[in-house]
Amino acid sequence: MAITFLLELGLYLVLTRLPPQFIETFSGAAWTLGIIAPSAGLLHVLALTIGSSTSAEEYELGTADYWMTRPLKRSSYFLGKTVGGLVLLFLIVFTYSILSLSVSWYVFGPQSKVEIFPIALAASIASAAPFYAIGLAFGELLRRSMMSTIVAGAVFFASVLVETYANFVALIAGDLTLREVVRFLPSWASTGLTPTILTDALGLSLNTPGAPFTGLGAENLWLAAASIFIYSTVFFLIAWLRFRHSDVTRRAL
Amino acid sequence: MSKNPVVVVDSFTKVYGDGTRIGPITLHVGEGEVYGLVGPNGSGKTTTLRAILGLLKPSGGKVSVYGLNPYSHPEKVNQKIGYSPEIPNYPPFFTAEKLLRVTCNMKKIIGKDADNEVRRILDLTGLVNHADRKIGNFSKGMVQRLSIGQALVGDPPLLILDEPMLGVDPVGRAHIRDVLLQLRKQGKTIIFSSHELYEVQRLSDRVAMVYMGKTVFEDMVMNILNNSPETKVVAELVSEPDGKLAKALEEISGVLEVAFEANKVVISVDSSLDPREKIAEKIVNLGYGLREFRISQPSLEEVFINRVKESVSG
Ligand SMILES: Nc1ncnc2c1ncn2[C@@H]1O[C@H](COP(=O)(O)OP(=O)(O)O)[C@@H](O)[C@H]1O
Ligand SMILES: [Mg+2]
Repeated sequence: MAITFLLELGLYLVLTRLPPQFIETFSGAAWTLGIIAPSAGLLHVLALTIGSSTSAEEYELGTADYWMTRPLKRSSYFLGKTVGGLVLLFLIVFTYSILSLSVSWYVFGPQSKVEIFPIALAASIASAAPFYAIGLAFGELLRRSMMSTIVAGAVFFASVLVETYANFVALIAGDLTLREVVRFLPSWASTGLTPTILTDALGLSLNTPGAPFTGLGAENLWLAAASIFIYSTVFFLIAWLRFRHSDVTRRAL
Repeated sequence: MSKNPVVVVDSFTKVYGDGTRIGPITLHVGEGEVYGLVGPNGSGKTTTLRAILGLLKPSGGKVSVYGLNPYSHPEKVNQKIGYSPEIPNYPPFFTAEKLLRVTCNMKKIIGKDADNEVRRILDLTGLVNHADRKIGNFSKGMVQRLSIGQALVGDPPLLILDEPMLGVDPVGRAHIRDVLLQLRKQGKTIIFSSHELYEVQRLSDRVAMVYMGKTVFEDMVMNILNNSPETKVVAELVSEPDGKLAKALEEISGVLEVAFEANKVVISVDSSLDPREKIAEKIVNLGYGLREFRISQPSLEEVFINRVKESVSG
């Protein structure tokens, strides 16, 4: 969490050091950079960490017994925890987004297009859902928050790595089918959604899909939404089924 | 069983992921009974209690609590249960009062009712003076008492206490024992586990003994102590016993073994044949003179050890 905020401040520190003529082109929209940058990676690591501890920590601490012997429906408990984790995630996203906005205002002067701030927030949260759900599922499967953070993190980095590599190869070989394949990766929509929506709303069409921070191309938004929905739903379901149909115990087996 | 059954565990088995096998375990707990689940560590007591709470899914057999399957309806079953786990684990930064308040909240006891309930439980468990202290600073005995206390929130009719005396010093134990006896008087059904037979013998109406994952036997404590082969008749005589008396006593059907200890005759009997009257008669008729005549009950521990030996060899 602290890392997120350090990254934000670092980002703006670097921006102020760039040549002024370069900065002028986007200084009115500098606030969006502070929202786009985390969505490339940190946001998802944060989401999967919160997901993992949301589901696994109660077993680790031994407090699961307490909650599961209350007159509480299993579904209410599960929903409560899941929503609780999401609220925490939202608060973090909200805080660093506000931070971006205020720092940008302070450093670069009045910011434009501030009316899309809520959309930026919504996009960030939605795009964080798949890895939140993946963290939740691994936490429930492994019942160790550390281990499940590592495994879910490995899934994320592997996905990003494969995506980057495939895009790179596609660029060199001019092979468009690779680009299509990449869309099945969970990181494709997660990392691409926020920059796509924001650059589109700002009217900045950078038109180099696959390049960092530029998004997936506005034409792919629906596909991205579908990918996010499917990945989130599938892993939420895995987490729920595992939760409902296994013993309440610290051991994973 | 004459009383209304509250908990029925019928040939329950559990196979854990690593292949550990528990069961078959069978228990019948009637309303208002204090039921002791005894057996050495690792024999399956906690497993059985957790199945009753709906915390784990039986691999075989049937578990029912107030007629409901606890695994399918944990929220309904837990409405009627107060549970204190073997290793109480509460947020260390909570105070005792805070834990009780949260528990009240979970049971939908709010406002003034919650105030009264918290006070009642602090009183009952003797934690009034520690209400504002953090659980992290509690002694083992205090945590156990608090754990029993949170189980009592909302006055549930069924209490499940897993090793309530574990790691508690003698003074703390006496206190917990008092609390349990008070609850028993109130007519609560209490199932508790312990590997210490002495505690179980003092507290329970009925016991089940589990060993290596199986129920060795289940009975009323009174029946066990009165009717086991370990039950002996002890007769103190006026004149010293001799071989002639031994021979005469051994002829009585139901007498298994006769031994002498100075002026005493210690006789193992088959209690189903109850030869007590004939023994006394013979001693008197042969002119040895009878000073004292009593039944010596074994401890639950002796009975348990012998049953385990039997079940292993047979
Ligand atoms: N979640 C689990 N996974 C695998 N084995 C377990 C699990 N819980 C308990 N066991 C094993 O089951 C056996 C019985 O344990 P338990 O029910 O805790 O016994 P008791 O409470 O009588 O000491 C032990 O051998 C224990 O190691
Ligand atoms: Mg145990």
